[in-house]
Amino acid sequence: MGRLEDTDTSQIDAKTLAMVFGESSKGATLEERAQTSENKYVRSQVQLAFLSKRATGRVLTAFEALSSYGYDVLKTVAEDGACPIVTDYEEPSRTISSRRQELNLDVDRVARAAGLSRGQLIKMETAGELSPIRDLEKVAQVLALDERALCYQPKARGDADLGVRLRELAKDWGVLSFSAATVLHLSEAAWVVERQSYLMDRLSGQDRILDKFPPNTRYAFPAYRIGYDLAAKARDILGIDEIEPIESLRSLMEEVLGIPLIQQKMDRRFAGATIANGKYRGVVVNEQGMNENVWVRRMTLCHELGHLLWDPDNKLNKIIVDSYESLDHGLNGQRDPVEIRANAFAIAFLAPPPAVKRIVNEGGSAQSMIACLMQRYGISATAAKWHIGNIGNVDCSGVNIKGFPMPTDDWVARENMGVDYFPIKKTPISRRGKFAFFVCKAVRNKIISADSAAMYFQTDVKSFEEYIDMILSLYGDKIDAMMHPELLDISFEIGQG
Amino acid sequence: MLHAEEMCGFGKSLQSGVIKHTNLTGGAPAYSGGEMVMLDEKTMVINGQSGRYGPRSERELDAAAKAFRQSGYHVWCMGYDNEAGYPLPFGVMPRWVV
Repeated sequence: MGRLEDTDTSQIDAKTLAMVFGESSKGATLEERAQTSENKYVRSQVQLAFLSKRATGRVLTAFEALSSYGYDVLKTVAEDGACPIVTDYEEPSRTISSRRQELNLDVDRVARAAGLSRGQLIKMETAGELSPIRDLEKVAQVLALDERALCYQPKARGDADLGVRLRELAKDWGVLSFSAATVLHLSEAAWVVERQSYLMDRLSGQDRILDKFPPNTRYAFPAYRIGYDLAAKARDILGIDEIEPIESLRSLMEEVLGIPLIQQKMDRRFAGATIANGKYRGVVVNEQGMNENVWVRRMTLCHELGHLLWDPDNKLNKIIVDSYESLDHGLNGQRDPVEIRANAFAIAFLAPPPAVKRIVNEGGSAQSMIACLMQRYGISATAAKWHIGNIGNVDCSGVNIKGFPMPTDDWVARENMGVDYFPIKKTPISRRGKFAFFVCKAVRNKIISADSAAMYFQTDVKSFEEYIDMILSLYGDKIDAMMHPELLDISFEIGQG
Repeated sequence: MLHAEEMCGFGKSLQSGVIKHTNLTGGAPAYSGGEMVMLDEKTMVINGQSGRYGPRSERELDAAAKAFRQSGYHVWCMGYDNEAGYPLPFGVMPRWVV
């Protein structure tokens, strides 16, 4: 949702503003009024009302209600006690049914993913039937729809192109490897990408650093060379020296660049994915398979970072899913220029060519150069072997990658996404990490209610409130700095791509 | 039973453009308030949408609906929205009052 409600209040008389937002509310814009309002609202499938003791629906803050349904709806609630928000007899049944079919998913699969019965989902897809709002929200999130817009806006702000692409990918990869479960995991991840980005925008109120990376349309031969150039450019934009190791790529992506990074359980052959949901982009990393090795995970993340930072919309095409096999090809076995460029970006961003040359110039066996590159720059043995061969012109063909050093505990700790320490065990792994921090921060700033936060974490309000301080302390200062980029030592002088 | 068309001439003369229940009662107490659509002379659809006089529970709304039924009308009732803590508006499937 945009900042549609960031509207001057000077045209509205003080009495009306006090009636809508309460006497204690303050501010020159509707957003400010809402954020200082003590009013609480409650929504059901069909209407928004003031919160009362007898209401059992979704509790919303004034800010949440304003940004979701607009000023006129809040005014009607103030005048009449409630306001219908359902715009069509066919909603939300039509939106849910058409989205499910867009993703080529059957009723049973979606119902199970949302923790509901087949009968409950069929009822939701029947026009005129009423369902509990909390159940509707679960289904909306599974299908990457905006649950706040469900009933109120046809298609519930779902990204139709993303839906189509997810279905196409299932066809391209084949049902056995790209199963309905994978489609659902990715669509749920897309919901997290959108919501985390939305909350970050609302909390920071500033342009995102990502906007400093214009899409680059160059893929012409040799694509790897363009990948190397983009890696050098990204280092330059971020003020990272040309041979400095990236100690924590996770931290750089989440805390400096503000990229939603979502850990998700996917089929073991997939390494990661880059997703665009609406105007927001994020990265999904598979918690299974070779990513369990933190140096492999860094390569996966950096490859996805290459897509996210530089691929224009027509190349990203809403979602790119990468297998371990395609990442393992290095620059030598890959034919798709989009993937060649992202692979080259990944290796050159993590281990810049000047640094590789320096290691090669230090001398030693191919084996010792590879080990040195791995330990100094935190990359996998396969990647290091290709890189020493390509940049240093060293014959590594006879080197067996088995027996090389494994990541030390400090590498593991720096790249840990913190999902294991999350105190609410019911919360899916995709919603732990930084997403959780922004949710808690949004509650503290009255952007969302504790009830909404509890829904995001798939827990109850009591459990959420018990752990909010702990979740905030798990992340803390670095994220606060990200929301105030002037505190970071980063140069924003960038050239055109 | 006091009633008036929402957009009657008097309602149009008001700032809101529509008549409110308090215009009918003069602000005095009333048992229950809501909206009604007549489908024909004997058949109505009702809800409990009233800022001041709306029923506060399913039970109160049922009592009002049954009063119409017992007066000889055929009644569809929109029902009560426990999630919003407010009567349901027109726009969803009403139920037949027996």
